[in-house]
Amino acid sequence: MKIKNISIKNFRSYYGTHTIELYEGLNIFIGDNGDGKSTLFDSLNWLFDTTLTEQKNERLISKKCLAHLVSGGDAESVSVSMTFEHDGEKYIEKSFDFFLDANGNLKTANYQFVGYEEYGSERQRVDGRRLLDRCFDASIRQYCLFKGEEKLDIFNTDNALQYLVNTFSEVHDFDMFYTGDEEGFTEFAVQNAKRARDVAIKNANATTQKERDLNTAIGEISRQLTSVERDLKDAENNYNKYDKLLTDIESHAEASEDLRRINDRIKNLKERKENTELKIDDAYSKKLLDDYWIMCGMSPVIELFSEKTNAFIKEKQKLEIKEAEKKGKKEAIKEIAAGVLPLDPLIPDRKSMENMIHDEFCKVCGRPAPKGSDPYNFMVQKLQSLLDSISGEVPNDEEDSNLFTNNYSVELQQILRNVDYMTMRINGLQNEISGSVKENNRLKMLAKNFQRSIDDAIDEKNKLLSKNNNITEEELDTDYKNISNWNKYRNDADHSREKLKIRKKELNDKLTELQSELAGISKDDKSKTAVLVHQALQYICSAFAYAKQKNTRNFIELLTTHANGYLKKLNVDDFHGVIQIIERANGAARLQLVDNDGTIVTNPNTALETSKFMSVLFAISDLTTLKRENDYPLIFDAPTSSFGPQKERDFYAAISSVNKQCIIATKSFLKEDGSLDMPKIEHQKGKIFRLSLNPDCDLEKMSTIQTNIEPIKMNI
Amino acid sequence: MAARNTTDSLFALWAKRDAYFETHFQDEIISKFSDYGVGSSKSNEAKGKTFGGGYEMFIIAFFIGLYSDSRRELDKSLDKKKFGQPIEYWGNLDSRTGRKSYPEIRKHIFAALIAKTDIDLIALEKGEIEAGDVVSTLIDAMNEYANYGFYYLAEKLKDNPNSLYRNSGFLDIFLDLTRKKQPKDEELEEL
Amino acid sequence: MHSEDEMLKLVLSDKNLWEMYGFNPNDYPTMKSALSAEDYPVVVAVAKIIRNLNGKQDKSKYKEVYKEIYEYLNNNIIS
Repeated sequence: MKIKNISIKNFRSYYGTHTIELYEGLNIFIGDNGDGKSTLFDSLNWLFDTTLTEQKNERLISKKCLAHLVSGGDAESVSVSMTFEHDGEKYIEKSFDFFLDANGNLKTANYQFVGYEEYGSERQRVDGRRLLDRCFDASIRQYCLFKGEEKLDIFNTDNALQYLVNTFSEVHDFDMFYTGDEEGFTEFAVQNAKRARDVAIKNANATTQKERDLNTAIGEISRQLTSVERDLKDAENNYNKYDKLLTDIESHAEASEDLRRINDRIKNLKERKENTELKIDDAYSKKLLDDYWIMCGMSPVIELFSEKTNAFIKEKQKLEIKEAEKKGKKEAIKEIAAGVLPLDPLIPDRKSMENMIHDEFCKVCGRPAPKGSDPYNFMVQKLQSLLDSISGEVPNDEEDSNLFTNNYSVELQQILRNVDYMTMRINGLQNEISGSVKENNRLKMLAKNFQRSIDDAIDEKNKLLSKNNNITEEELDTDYKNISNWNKYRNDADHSREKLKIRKKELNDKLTELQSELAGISKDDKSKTAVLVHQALQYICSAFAYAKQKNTRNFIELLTTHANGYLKKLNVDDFHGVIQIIERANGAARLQLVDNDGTIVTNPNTALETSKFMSVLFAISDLTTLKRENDYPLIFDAPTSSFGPQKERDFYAAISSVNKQCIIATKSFLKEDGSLDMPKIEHQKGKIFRLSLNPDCDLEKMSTIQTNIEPIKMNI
Repeated sequence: MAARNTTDSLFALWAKRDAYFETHFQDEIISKFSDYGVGSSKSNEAKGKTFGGGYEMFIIAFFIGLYSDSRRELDKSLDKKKFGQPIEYWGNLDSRTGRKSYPEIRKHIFAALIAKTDIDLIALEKGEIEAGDVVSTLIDAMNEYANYGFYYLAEKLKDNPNSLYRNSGFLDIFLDLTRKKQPKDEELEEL
Repeated sequence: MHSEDEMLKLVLSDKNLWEMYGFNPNDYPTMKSALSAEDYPVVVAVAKIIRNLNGKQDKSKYKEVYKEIYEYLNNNIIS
């Protein structure tokens, strides 16, 4: 949406009809106090009001016009209208008539809010309110019109972030699915499914003791979880309460430089403490196993194992040698019997003897020995006695002759080599342990010292804050105590919420585990299914909760990126840091500036503060553009009243480069004597108008007052 | 040829077994310091326990018994319970729990059991006694060392219920047991 | 509808959900694909909740949708 022109008639100081052709970029209306800047803003605000409240307010009528009315005479009208471009040219006009009746009483009548839009080549009259709501709905208007500098902080209200997310993020209406307050659908479904599950389990005949126990345990954990969640909420609220109190005091403190120094010191000390604590590695019990510390006394045991294994192996070898000796003798006999080994050349072996008997010839004496002869009989007898002598000793091949059937000695030797390999490590363990303990103790002492210094610095800060809170000597002490207490309460709340978060996670894990177990053992199909359905709905509910949170985070990220793009462009005071949007409980958020060295800027000057808010507004404007596929004008009334002249000029120069239609009413560009600072104006990009009162007016008489609008610079 | 028993090593046979303990220690000690009986799907940090699986508590108890050179027979009149996790899986932790695996501890327990029991290794090698029986002897000894350790811990808990919840609670026990002869040169009190 | 798809993607990207029910969230970028994810009743249930609640935050609509989702899960979910 781009506003092409605005027409104002008889609206308070705007006597008569004033039509202003606007530029699609920056439009500046320069006016001094009382010249009609706010009236210009109010006239647009009135036009954009689509509520159905009484709109014919007599106070809106130009007093000068009223003075010209005659009793019973013609009616005059108040009207504000605008022509704008939004998917084609459109026009809206809000107006009412006023007149004096025969008795001289002021009457108003004929209130109208009309619109016109083009259909093809035709121009059609439509309801103005509906047309405006369609093109420029209330949720967007809220982020387009700003009166004064202090109204720029759109995060100043509760639920602001939630509202923005609901209005502008990719996904909205999460509340329908999940609220976190048992109001969303998935929470409703989990509750009902739980009831259904409990009934099903109760009805299942075969409910075992174990299932009953699990259900009792689940009930107990659920109760604990509810109470932890309640406590967590309390802790969050407490934290936010005291955080806000302290942040407010900090932002009002005069001694901002001192405060920044102390905050820097605290931040630095905290970082060093955290880094020190990170280095502490005192999970000693786990190290007993993971780092083998538990084996620190193993040396004598390993020695014993080594002795025993070696003794065993020696003993085995001894037995084997003995066995081998025995075996060697047997082998020889066996081989002799098999005719493998030659006998003494003078003693024929079995084969030669058998051959000699068969050939009836004695090879030993070289004579024939016919069957039946003495030499023949001698040979037969000799063979027989040889056979006899070996027959008893020939080992039987079928019989097992091995002494050892197992070979565990090899395995034990292997294990010995293995544990020997660890010996060096084991011998070094005592040193490793005492070294580690010493180092951890040193780190703990160091962290403790850091904490002490942090406490001191916080103390110093509290004193400083109380001194600078514009209070009397007597109040000083109470104030100091308050601030110390608030700091303590905030820290307590912070600790307890961290603890509760952990506790909540533990309980949730436990609950899931018990439920899985229950799902696993429920024998009865009906109750088993009921358990599964309940479990599934719980997972779904958690997934919606996760999605809601992620969506908010995505939105904050997007908004932050856009806002920082603008902050860079505005570049007030050569500030090179960034804006951070910090999410708080209950849909609220807070903006903070962080310097490029990472320190939080606690006390930015007003110009920087204003550019911070402006950047966020421009960013929101970007998001509306993305969301509605249309751009919207931004209208400000005196946003820079606290700026110095130089800053102001830079600021407007920057704004004219951001490529958005801006309408700004301001005192800037006026010299001390109320005349225009022309060189500055010439320097400015955009259209510039001068608002001024008619020179002949009498400020005491409202009926003489009339604002004129004079274009000063129309060439862009 | 002779039929040699080469199917399983003694260590493998032993590692396939599970340890057991007197059931009352589950509530008295094991569940207090480990995730035993609560499933193993979640990380230890989430539950804030000192140890992971219940067997880790058993290992601690075993080494207490071993370094005290004391065994205590399990009470026959009491219920016993197994971990449901054979020794071969002890200390095979995956990285998601942020823990390291410690395979060497298993080997050292085995070595210690061989060293500390009167097993006739020669008879075993000759096949005169069964490997299964030897393994049973080792397991019994292991359970008895651990049983002594459990009673030791129970006593400790009775005397000073908080001492074991300190970071150095268990470490102090081992330093005490293994440095008895030397004077303490380091005070391990937590800051 | 664009916004429904975005909502679906955000919900299905919950690690606890997809790990528990073993689906790949990238497989269901649209309501259409999720509504026909027959192998994963939880995915279908999420899509049905988004679709059928139809912008209404009142108890009678809750009851109606709950009944439908419960029936669906009851008939389709397996351990």
